[in-house]
Amino acid sequence: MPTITEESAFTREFVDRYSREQHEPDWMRQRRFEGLVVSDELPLPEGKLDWTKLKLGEMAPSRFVALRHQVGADFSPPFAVPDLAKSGVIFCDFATALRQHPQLIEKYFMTSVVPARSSKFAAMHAAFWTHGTFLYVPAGVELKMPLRTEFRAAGKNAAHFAHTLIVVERHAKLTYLDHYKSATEEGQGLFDGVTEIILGEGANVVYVAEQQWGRHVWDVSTRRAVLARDANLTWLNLGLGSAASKMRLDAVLDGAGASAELLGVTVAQPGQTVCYDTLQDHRVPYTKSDLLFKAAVKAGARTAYEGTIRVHKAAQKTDAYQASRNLLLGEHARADATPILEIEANDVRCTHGATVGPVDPEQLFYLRSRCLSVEDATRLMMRGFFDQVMRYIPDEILREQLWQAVDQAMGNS
Amino acid sequence: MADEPKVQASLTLNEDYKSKYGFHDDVTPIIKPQKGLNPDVVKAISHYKNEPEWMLKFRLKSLELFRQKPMPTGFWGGNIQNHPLDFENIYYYLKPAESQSKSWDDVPEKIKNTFDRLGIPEAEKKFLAGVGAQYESEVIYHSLNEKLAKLGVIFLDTDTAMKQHPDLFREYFATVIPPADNKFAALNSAVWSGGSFIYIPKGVKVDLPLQAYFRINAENMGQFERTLIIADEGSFVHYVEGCTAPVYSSDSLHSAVVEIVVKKGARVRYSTIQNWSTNVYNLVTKRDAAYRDATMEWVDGNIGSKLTMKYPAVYMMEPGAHGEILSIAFANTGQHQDAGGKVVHMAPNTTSRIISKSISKGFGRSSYRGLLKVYPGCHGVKSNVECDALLINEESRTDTYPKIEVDERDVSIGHEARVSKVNDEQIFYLMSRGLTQDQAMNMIVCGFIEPLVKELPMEYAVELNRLIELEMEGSVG
Repeated sequence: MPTITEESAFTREFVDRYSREQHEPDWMRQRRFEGLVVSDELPLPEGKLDWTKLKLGEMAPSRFVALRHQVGADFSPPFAVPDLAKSGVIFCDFATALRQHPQLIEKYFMTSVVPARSSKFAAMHAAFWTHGTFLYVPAGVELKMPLRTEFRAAGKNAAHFAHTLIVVERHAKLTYLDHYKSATEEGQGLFDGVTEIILGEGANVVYVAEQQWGRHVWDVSTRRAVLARDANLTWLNLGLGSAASKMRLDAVLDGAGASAELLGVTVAQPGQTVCYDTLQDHRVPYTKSDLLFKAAVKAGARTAYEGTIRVHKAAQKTDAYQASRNLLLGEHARADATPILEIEANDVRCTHGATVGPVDPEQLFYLRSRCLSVEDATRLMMRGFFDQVMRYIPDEILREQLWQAVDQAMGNS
Repeated sequence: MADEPKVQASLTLNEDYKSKYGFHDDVTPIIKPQKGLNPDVVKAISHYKNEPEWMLKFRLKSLELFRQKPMPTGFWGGNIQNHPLDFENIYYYLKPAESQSKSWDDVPEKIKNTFDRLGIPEAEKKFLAGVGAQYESEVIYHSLNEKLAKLGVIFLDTDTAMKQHPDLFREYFATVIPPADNKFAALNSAVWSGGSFIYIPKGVKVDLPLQAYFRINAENMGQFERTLIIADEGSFVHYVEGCTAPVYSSDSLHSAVVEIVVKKGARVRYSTIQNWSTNVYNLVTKRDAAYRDATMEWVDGNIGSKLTMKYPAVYMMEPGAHGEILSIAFANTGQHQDAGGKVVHMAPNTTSRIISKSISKGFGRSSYRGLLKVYPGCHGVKSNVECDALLINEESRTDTYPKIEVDERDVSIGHEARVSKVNDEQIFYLMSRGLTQDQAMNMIVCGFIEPLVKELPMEYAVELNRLIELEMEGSVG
């Protein structure tokens, strides 16, 4: 693939013009330019995706998206945004945040959590980002209602770059959902999002990324969370759409007592390739991480999971678990799993497991003996399969809404 | 844990290896081409061996491939790119003696002394059906039980086999591992010398193991043996290899290629106790092709060497084939054991199992690197991979890199790995029963690898346990 700057639409001129139109501060423009340079230097990520099929040359960075911020358990409109400002919470789109809270953005935007250098696509994001969400929760604030951002992308051959930056101060608590959605369109689409989550001491966050792209979109997002002492993160990734995806999902445990749950529910549709690269990075003693990724792979679909547990020398007493479970539902379905352990400390407990197989025929037989059709029985078993992941979501109404999306994705079979 | 006792312990350990295996003899090789790798050296090797034209061509083509191929990077390889391996500072061929002997009495005195000290002739008398002993580049001793020879079993060094059984040899040579497979397979194909050639006729079951012992004596030596085993329909053989070398300050290279063909209903077991001194790079390619209802078992013990990169592979070519890989690795300070295994399912209803146990001590690093692959249409495949790693000291390191690629729906695939340190409570319990901390540690480590050790013939199991005990000495500061 040629470098990005050689592509007609992804130019330095575009970045410069866009940044000036938005009246961005100089440091942001500078970071965009740096991102552009770095993205040209870095190679495409390795893996199972055939990058030659991604026609970046025919795409253009998109400036138009529908972005909605919502607060409340029921996300169906009309909705009201309660006055969060009283408690000091900042919840707004990213451009606004850049105008109103430049110091916070300058401090956190692609500096420590996902620097532009981390990958080609992260760097490209730094150069071309247009929209996104900034959420700041001050110390001790507990948000009872979940927050949600709906990101709707449209346009033939459009490349979208959305940023989510979540800064949660000490002992704050919240549930947040990023919902990405588009209809299936002609041509291709690219989504290159970056999510950065910073959890302060004792913070407690439930973060859900629900992805329902149309079948033309390539998703190459990077999501990374850094946890301070005693922070707690429950993080669910729902992958229900897209043509192909190559996701980078990292949790960095950077304070004693920090604990992260990384969860995945993937329904891979025929012709789709879904790749997840995960990292559980244990940097200090007494941290815990638990990963459970489940994928239902339909006929002709492909999933590739590559997950690493890394335990640094100092990180004694680490407790880490990693499981990749793949159900193959049809002919020519394929699932690859590469669960990696890199352990440099000795007093640890690290285990991982990976399984690949079809629906258990005996369970199917039992359900059919109870007068369920093959389809109903399979659906029921799939619910049971995914329930072990979904039950981690504490908010019942939210969980039910996510179930609807999963059922819909499964029902297409 | 104080630093001082640890250093002392590792010193005594080195002393022990030195006295038992690490000695060297002043054997002047009778043929010793110059150091380095070039077409002249390859031609010289072929000339000394009086080889047919096709083999010389094969060697030269392989040398070309070696030049073209990059060093292994990415997934396969234990960071070899970080090691200063100088291909020009190695002797690629050393011939230690005029001819091969069938009786130990005919082996030159000094070389015989070496193998006496290693206990090979004694073991042969006791429990082996045949023995090959390779010293530097050539096999200097070879014997086979007469009864087996009468049944048609062939157990020769590979060079002799090429001359005595040219058709059989050519039919199978380099079919399982072509020179283009990887850089080190290409290197071996260019400069190979020695190794074992085994043919077991239809239905013959060899009860006692056949053994080969590989010894490097000279400094900066490269040993490139080439082993080819063909087990015809319904036969069985257990082949055991051992290896040691003197302790030198500069590095030696051991790069073998082992090809095995297991025909319908046959079973082959291949056991290795690798105990090279810690200045040897051990970069080995081992693979077999298992046909209908055949069984292949690798028992792979890695104790020595500086860096080992070895992933025995089972290719299950026809239905009913079964592959089993049992891997033990022990990495002490200065060592990286990059071991593991590959199981490749190319036919339906094939089954496989990998069990890997590794122990990392001091600054040692052990890695499991594996592949489990199921090709499309291979329904009914069952495979399970288990990796256990034990970490002894705070500085020890372990990694697990398993690759699982499944292209078929109707399969049952599982992988599990566990990493832990020695359980304090278990140590406490054993100490409350009157064991010292060292003894308790030993007992737990031996228990940890026991499931694999019991697969070895008695004498080797005892030897392996003793080796581990030696390595474990002074682990509790």
